[in-house]
Amino acid sequence: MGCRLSLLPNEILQDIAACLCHNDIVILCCVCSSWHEHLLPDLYRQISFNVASPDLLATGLAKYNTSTSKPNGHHTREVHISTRSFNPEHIFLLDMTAVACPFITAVHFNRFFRQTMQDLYYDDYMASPTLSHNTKRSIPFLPSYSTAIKQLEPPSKKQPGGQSFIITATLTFYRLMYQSHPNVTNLTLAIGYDSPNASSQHLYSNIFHGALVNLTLDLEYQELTLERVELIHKCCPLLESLSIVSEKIQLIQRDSVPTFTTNQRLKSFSLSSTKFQGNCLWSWVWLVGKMYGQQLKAAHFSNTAYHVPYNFEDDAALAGTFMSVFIQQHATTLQSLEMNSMAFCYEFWQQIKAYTQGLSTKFLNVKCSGEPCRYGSTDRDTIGLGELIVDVVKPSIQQLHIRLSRASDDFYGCTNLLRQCIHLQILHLTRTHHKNDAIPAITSLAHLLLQCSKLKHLTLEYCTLDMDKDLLANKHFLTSLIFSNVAFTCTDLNRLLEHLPCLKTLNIDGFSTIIHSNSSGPPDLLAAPVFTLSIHNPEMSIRIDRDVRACLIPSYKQIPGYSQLISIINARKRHCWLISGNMVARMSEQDEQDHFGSQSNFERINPRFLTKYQLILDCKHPLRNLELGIITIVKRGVFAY
Amino acid sequence: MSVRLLSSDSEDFTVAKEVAERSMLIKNMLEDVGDNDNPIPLPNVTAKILRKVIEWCEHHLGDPVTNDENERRNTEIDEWDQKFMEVDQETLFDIILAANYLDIKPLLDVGCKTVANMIKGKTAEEIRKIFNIVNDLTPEEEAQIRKENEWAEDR
Repeated sequence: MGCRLSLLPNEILQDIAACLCHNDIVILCCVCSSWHEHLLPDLYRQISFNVASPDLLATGLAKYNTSTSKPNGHHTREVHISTRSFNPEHIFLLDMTAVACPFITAVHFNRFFRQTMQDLYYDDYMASPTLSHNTKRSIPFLPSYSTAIKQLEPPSKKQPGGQSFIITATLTFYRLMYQSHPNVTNLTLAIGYDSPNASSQHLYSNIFHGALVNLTLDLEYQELTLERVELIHKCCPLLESLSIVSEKIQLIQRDSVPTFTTNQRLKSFSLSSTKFQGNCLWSWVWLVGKMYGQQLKAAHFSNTAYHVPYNFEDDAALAGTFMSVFIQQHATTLQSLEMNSMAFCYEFWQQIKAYTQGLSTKFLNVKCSGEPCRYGSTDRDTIGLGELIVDVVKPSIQQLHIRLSRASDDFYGCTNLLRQCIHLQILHLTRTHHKNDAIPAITSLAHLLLQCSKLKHLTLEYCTLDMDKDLLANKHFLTSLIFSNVAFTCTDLNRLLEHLPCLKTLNIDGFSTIIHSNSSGPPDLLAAPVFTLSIHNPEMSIRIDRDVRACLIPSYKQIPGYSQLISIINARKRHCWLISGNMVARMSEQDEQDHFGSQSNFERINPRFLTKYQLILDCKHPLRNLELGIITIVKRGVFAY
Repeated sequence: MSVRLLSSDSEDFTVAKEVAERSMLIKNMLEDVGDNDNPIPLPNVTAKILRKVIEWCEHHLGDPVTNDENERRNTEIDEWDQKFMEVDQETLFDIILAANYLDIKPLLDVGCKTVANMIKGKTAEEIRKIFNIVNDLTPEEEAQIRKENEWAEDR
């Protein structure tokens, strides 16, 4: 039989390559000359400055590709200029990108842009000893960012951060960038500086190119104001997606109704604040309702900082107006709604429910995390918040991330409703957790899986697992299972794992607790308990957090200790790791026996290692990835530690 | 409502319209010709492969359609599809070609991911063996390709 794979059309070969990582594609290029020809462009489609050898990449970009009769760089569409500091090799790569990659459509900068400008001013790569002679020979032909920036006034020592230098350097940089890459439509940048006066208009109109379609902007310490958004819309009439991060957000007054016209193309608006500003953020929810009408498909709001819940009781009418304008505009057209840590409340969803009664909603993705709060009415809720959300979004939802709020807003009530979410693929359930909650709510995982048969990824937080073994009779195709602060017995988890043949990822995170189950006999109060997890699936990735602890029922009293022993057994060998705080150490078999066989003896010698428990991972196959504590032990099947 | 499909070796298949419309090619054809009883000829697909394709379409009838490239690429193959794709290489490639011709994106994705999984983590020599490919590169050329693209090692 001839080679069928090489007879497949090239576009299919490229579809296959799209499922593979860079290193696998390099291997494919080495298989035969026709694959080398067809796949080489894929290696350069997306490039990053964060690579092992930037000058080798730069040389590759300039190299003429005989099969496509173009330099490799002509195939580059996306570049991540994402490195903390620029060394001469990076500057060389930057200049080479300007010449060799005219068709770039997406440019992503990071927060170190200001530093980059200074590196460009001070670094002289012609004099750098790290660049090879060949590389240096090609430099004189490059139109150089650094040459242009070196001609500017030097950064002044007097002004903090050399503000005026940074601004002129930025303008110079972007002018050159748009000259070299006129097709840029996607831009990610952090720009935490502009002078408080009218010059921001000048800066913006030079940075935000009229052709931009997707813009992700980090304002750092500057305030996000209505004027800025207006300016962005003025500069970029084709914008379809706008995402802004800022520390400060302007509070929009309701009497100052915005008069500017936004563009009709915007489909996605995202706003996140790095400090908690509940009311400011809610005023933008109102504004988004006012400004964008029904054109939006996605609206995301989030507070990334920890906060005390904002209480609408102070201003119930305020919240009422904010919500209802947004809901009337967006409740039936939005596909994606995220409201993270922003005092999301029962009334918001109650209003959505009331408004969409009898209408169909289009939600595919809903994420509502954060402290629940109430305003206005003080009636007891008839159903929990989680149930309310699930009830609204159930016909179409694919990804759901919710936080259950009341003690009685339990996982059981929710799972009964979740069965009606027939398209659900990703579920993240968490619960409001109070410090005094000794025993979190109970989740019947079997019940949940039985209801949601299409589920692929499941994350559970703050609950105790209760496996009802009779319920889980069939296999379930779950591929990832993440526990964070979940209490479980190994017997239950083993029983569950038997029914999950496709599981690839198991994470036991946070302060999860392994419960000593009665079936393995009464606990020996003198020795640390030993637990065993049976891992059947080949290619599993496992992570076990350093804070995972053990406890004994019925008291749920934690077993004290400083360290955990994790032993991995597979067909070929057995090895053992000791986790103690940030430290992870490999133990020899003798150590392990000493440590466990006569624990008291070991601890007398070394009391610091008083062990909480031993967890044995009984694997039939080698693990794909293994992370213990903060250390990666195995990465892609190879020992990394 | 049902539709008749005619394979390249003249076998006549009758399937529900919704099933046939998983194929964008057939969907567009149906829109063009309107209702009529004539079978749709599919000259690039044999009966053996068409039977497989119809089986797949019937199983995935209610699936939501995602247009997000990244999402489609990153979801893993479910167990039913894995079983479905446990066929000899000849058939696997014929299914991929048929999915491409009939324009059934999700089936094409499953096919490509199956092949990608056969490739992942293998050496060039292993890949040549699996797919029976003749190496027309000299060891020097191979080393050269490797060296030129080493910039992203360890990422």
